[in-house]
Amino acid sequence: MSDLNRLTEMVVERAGGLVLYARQWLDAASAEDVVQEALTALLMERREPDNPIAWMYRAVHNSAIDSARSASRRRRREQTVALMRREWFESSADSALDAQVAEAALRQLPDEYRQIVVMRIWGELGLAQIAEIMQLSITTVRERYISALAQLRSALENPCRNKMD
Amino acid sequence: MQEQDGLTPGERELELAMKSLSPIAARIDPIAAAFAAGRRSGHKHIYLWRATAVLMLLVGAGSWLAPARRNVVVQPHEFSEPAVALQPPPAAESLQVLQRTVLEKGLDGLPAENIPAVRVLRAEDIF
Repeated sequence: MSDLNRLTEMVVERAGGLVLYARQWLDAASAEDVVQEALTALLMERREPDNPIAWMYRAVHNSAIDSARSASRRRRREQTVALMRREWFESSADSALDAQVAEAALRQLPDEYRQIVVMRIWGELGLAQIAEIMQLSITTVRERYISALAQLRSALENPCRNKMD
Repeated sequence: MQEQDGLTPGERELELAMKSLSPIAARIDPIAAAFAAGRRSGHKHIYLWRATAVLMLLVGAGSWLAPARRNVVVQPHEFSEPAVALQPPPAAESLQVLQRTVLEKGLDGLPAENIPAVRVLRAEDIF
């Protein structure tokens, strides 16, 4: 199997987490576009990054922020509506948590805390990699992650207060 | 999966519970991404070749023009004439010039300072 095929497969396996990460700033369609572009950029790299998944999260992070900044006020309003329109998680009987409740709990987190949780849990990145992507110290990332988990636990234990409108 | 990062068992349990949720399937097209990457890389090569061709053209034009300019600057005969012109004219007292002057104009043509003064002789000078 060629390197490009291996890279592509690696990214496609994690595409759900990457799109979920991009959705912290963008609607579902734009988030998929950003991930698609990041994959294209990864395949164009002359030298394979040491950690392609961390590279992808960094690329998606930068592109998603740029894309969100360049959007007009009207488009941002549309995106806000669109963000609410499509869910973040598949509903499955195998899941230990209710998808909608978990999504509502995640949405309540401060933005940076939520980004850390998404990269850590669905991106399977280490705290050091997350710290590098977010340009924060590892200590700060660790503190925020633990704080985010505590807030999530609280929200999941009291789901009635966190129902989305 | 990832390092433990000093999490408590409760936090680990919550992590695993959250991880049991699958993000909505992403519609990523790897073939389209590979195609786009190849096409853009091709464009890069085309730009590279174009840039190289333009550079070679400029170098060729430069090398064609440079010798012509050198020839214009380094013409030896152009420098020899001023060198001759700078030589001092022969002195008016030189034998050649005096001979020519006498042949052409006679004794009157000689410069005044070259004609010896006529000495007036008096009797007491002789005796």
